[in-house]
Amino acid sequence: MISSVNSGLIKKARRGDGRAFSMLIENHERFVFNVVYRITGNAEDARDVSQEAFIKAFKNFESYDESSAFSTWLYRIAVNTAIDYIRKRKKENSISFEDYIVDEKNQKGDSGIEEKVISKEGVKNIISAVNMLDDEFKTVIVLRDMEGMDYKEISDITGLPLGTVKSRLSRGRGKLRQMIEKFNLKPETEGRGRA
Amino acid sequence: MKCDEALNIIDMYVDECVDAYDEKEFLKHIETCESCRNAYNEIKRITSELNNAEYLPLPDDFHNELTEKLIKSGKKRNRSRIVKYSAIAACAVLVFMTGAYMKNLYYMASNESYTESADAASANESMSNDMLRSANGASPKLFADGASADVYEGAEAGGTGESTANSYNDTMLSTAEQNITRKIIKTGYISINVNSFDETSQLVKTYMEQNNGYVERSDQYADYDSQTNAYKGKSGNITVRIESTKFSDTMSYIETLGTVTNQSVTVNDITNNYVDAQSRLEVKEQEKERLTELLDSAENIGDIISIESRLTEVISDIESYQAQLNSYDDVVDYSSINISITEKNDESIIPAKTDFVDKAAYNFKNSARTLFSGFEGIVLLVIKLWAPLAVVLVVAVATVVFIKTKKNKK
Ligand SMILES: [Zn+2]
Repeated sequence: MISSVNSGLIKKARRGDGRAFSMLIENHERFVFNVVYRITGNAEDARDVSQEAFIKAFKNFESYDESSAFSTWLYRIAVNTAIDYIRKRKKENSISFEDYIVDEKNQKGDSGIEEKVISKEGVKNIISAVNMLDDEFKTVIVLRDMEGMDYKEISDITGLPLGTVKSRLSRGRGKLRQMIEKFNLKPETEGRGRA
Repeated sequence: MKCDEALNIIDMYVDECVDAYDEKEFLKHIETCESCRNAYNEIKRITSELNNAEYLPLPDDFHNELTEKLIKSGKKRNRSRIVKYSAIAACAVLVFMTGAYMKNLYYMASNESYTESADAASANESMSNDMLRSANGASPKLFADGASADVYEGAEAGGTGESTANSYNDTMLSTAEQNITRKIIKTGYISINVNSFDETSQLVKTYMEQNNGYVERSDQYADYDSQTNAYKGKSGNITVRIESTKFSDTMSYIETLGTVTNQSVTVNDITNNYVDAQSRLEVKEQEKERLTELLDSAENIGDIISIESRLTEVISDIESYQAQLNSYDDVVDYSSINISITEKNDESIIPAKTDFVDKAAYNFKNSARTLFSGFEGIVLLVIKLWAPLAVVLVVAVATVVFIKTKKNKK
């Protein structure tokens, strides 16, 4: 909930005062930016998309009914905006781990693709491995393992059934394990694998 | 527990959502099965590492850039509002001009019947005065209500037609920006002593009928002297509702009906409440629009369900604000007057009848006005309905001719 000290700002923001809204969200900017960054996997995109999410929140500010936490409400909009964005981006897709696996099978041991993937995406640690997951897995992994949401919250935000959330989560983690093996990634705490 | 079962449960175990029995079985299994234990440890490591990932700092200038965008998108909304009001204003100007045109037609049609306003110029002059009054705010309700009746009221005043359309335009735009006039509820209380309760209440009823008002409530009772128990006469209360514009006329009329013993008027300004309800309504309507757009582009069932449930809420909000505004309009447009009437067979009171001359003059004026407005209404109606009337006329003439020829044949 927004503190009552801010009620003047809220009123102004609801009437369409952009500066008032900007003051309300200032403390949430880093948090929203990072959620979006984790889902989109790209800082430049995250900048645009998180700002777009804030503008969306501003335009829909009347629909925020103050019964839920302001941060949760912002979070929802941010996550949905980021998911929409990667959905659209998928059409102009870049190489993902899925493609990589498929290509590897097709090309039977030709290591050209592997080198390309590694140099392009720079898989240095688990976080960059998450980045290479297909969007459907990446979203649930980010929300569950990085943002600490529970299954129910993820299901609410993404609109996926609980069962789907669970199965995507374990499949996503399975893929991460494969990548860790593939790229020989060591735990952060024990120093990096391939630098 | 077998390996495939154990592997199935790892994630839920890591996320701490397996029941006690499964947990026990799972732990028992990984104690003995090395490959499942490895899988578990690896996932545990992945999740804890991801969980400990740090947030990046915000990119440079993120806040300033965002603030600018927000201010810009806020302004855009205001601009679209002005565009909206300009559009309404333009429509209203159109209605005015149509009204003016009608009025000119009307004057042309009625010139012959009125010796006083024999030439069109004097007619126009009196119209300009009306218009001036209207422009000065005598009839500024137009925008607040937007009801067709009010537009018509304005149209009546728009006498000089096209040449004044521009000045109107300005007035209307400024009215549109202010958006609202004061919303005032007037309530009158008046106590009178009269000779005859029945006669007086009949006069009140008649007056209400003639002036588009109505009696909302009335009661009467017999008065007895508390000591002698002798019958003193009839008393009672009448509550009437009358158009606010006729409030003071009505109060003055009631004063003439007897001896006034008490009189007061309360004025309640509900402009703030009104504007508040109006802006809430506007906000909800914008939200409804957006939700409808959102619904069109929604891609999953979860979104659709949550948008639809929100939409239902918004629509019911809109209805309740609308109902509130309607009830405000009702009390603002119609004033209440509570009349307390006491019958006194007392010589000291001025009987209503002594005001005969005043009343006669009043009634004369009033019925003349009624006649005039009735006539005006008919002429306007004729202009509006000339085509169907012509058909009716032709049919009537044809019928008469038909009957006559039939008679002649006999
Ligand atoms: Zn096992």
